[in-house]
Amino acid sequence: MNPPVDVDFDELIIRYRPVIGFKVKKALGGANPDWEDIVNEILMQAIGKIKSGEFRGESTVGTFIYTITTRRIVDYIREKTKVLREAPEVPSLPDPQDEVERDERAETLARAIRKLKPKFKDVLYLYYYKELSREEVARSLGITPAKVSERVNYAQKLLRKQLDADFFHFSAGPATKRLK
Amino acid sequence: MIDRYLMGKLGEAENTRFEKHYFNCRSCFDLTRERGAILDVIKQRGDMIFAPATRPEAQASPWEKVAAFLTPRRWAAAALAAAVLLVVGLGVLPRFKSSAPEFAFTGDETVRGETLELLNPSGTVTLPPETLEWKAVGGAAEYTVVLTREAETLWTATTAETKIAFPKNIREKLAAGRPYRWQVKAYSAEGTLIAASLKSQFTIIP
Repeated sequence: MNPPVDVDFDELIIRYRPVIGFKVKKALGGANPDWEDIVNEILMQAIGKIKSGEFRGESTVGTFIYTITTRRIVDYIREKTKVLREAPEVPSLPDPQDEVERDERAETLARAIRKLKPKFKDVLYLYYYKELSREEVARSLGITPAKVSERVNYAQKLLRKQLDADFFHFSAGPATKRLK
Repeated sequence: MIDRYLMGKLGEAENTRFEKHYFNCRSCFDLTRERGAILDVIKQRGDMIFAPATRPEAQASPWEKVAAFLTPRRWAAAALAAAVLLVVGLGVLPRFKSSAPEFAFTGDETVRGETLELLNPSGTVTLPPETLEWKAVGGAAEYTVVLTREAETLWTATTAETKIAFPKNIREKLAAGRPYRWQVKAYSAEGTLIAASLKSQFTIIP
């Protein structure tokens, strides 16, 4: 087996925990209480494989971790489907502290969206909430599709300006530190 | 691309490429995460965000704002301008065909135009559904139904009814364990889009 690739594992955890968490929550739903455990399993598996030399550096670390992440997600879904078929599962409750933090962040963002000028709120409403295509949004508002994109992008920028920059650096897990 | 990814509109290969990219690109991940946060809030709280303010202390009523803005001179100018527009509008301008409805929040409306509510199927189902059903929308002459799985459009159809049966060949292809999403749009007799539903998702339990 090849010698292990030189990787700073602390940096790896800090760098990839939010990314893995984002992907896992997107696949399983943010309210799924198992997501943090799965993120930890993925990180441990990745570190284990790097230490044992299984990761040979033929791909980037990011791609390697992505592969482990997608496989773990598929396995989790298979396990859950099997459990549901064999016996009904009592749903586990989400952590109340996480719920409160999530609600606070959502409320801050919701307030910022409400404060936008109508022309920006309109496009967010039609494009994101109703999921109309760019062309349909353009027809509905009597503007060009290019203008729709421009307003969506500008609305995003306005929201970022209005909110505290730290809001967007919320962790995907409990121990993430801000990278320098 | 980011928005299409977040809304599940990318094909499988594109989706994988995009995800692999943000696993390797910190700035792209940060941007994706920011947009994802905004989209999540809009999806979860859209009814509240886009509804008119109902609390009395939230803001001044439109009439209060107008009264504060208009001085006597401005009142006179506004009245003159209104009179001119009335004359021009009624007597001079040709009549245009009705275009897309004016979007305005009124009363309890939380959507522009009318709400289009999907009825069945939704959530988890034990058998492949036989029909799709939704509530009627006033003024709708026909409805277009779109069924998707991930970013792939599986089937689209148009009907004047508020219910449509799955064609046999489509129903037979509905697989257990995979999420399907469907959306209905209502069109007037002139072909104008007057209402669109949110996307509803159903999954057949294996």
